[in-house]
Amino acid sequence: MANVLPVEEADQLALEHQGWAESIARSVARAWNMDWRLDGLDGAAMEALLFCARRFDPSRGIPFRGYARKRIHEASTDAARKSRGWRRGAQNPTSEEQRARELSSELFNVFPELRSGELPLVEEGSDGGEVRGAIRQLLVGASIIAAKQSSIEQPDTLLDYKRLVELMATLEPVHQILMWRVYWEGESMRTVASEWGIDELNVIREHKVLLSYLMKGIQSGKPAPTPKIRPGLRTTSVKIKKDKLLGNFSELVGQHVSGQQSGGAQAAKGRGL
Amino acid sequence: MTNNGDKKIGGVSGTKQLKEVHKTESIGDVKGVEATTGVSGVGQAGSVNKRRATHLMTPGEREALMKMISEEADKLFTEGALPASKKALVTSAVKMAVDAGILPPEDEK
Repeated sequence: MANVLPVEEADQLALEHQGWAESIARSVARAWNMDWRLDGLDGAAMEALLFCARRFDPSRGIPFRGYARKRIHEASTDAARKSRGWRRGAQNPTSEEQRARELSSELFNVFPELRSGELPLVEEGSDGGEVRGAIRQLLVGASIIAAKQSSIEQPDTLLDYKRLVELMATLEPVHQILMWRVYWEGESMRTVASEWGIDELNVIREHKVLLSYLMKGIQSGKPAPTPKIRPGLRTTSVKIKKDKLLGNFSELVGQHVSGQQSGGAQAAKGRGL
Repeated sequence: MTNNGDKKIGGVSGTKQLKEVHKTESIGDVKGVEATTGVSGVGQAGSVNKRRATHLMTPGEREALMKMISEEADKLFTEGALPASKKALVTSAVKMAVDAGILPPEDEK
């Protein structure tokens, strides 16, 4: 049973961290060029702070800020997305700034550590150092999200990402399905892991390996040796192969080829390839 | 000299019959010590799964991070696998996501 604080103490804890929570809301507003008060980020941050304080269990040994930061950040971004300022921007979907906001908000789902002010971890010895390696991961991740957004909004524009999609189609089916579910369907890595009955770390680490593979392929212009399936994902992979499932990106590429062969460009248009 | 108190030993009892000694087998040829084959090489040790500290972004390095994002985007979008027309969009989005997580130093304590 959780050893939560008595209400008075929890409220006091929230009061002590009010300035900190507001600072999180201000950071989100600054990045998205919004007004943290007018757009309601302040209220959302305070609400999340109070929620966390009342559920905080000091006996677990996790510092309060470590426990609450992601949740307060998430509440702030959610409030921003519902705000009038965001909706105004959404009325002009061609606006580069609004598209970048949309893309960055999806980036938080793939790299939740950004909400805590941390860069994604990369393998030691990464070319150019760990910070640059992390930045490259973010750029590749953002490009995949941009490709997905294109395929939904204007299927024709997915052609711009043809080489990226073809590169993803070279992956093992289990890897393609992982990337599809995280990027195209917006599922969290935790959800994917729990559905596959494996530890979340397996999915997180495999995702990093896949991004690194894509990055190499993008930079060299040709596919590198495809990543091996880590032991934690092998059972899932065997099941997928037994069901003769192709990867989602292979299907996209296949549709494109069959569309070209039959002269039916229209057939491929639906998925943009 | 005998002592009259001594008793004549009647016999030795309690020993057990020795088991049969098995025949030894002939020893095979003793071969000369063969030369060792050369060690083909020592492979690289696999990466040790070390626990590493995550990189916490600070306002002090904000400008440097933004510059690095632009530089890395320049490299990534030159090869043609990613559409150059989307470079500005992707770069801005990454900058926004990074910036939204940076807190002033007094709030990082």
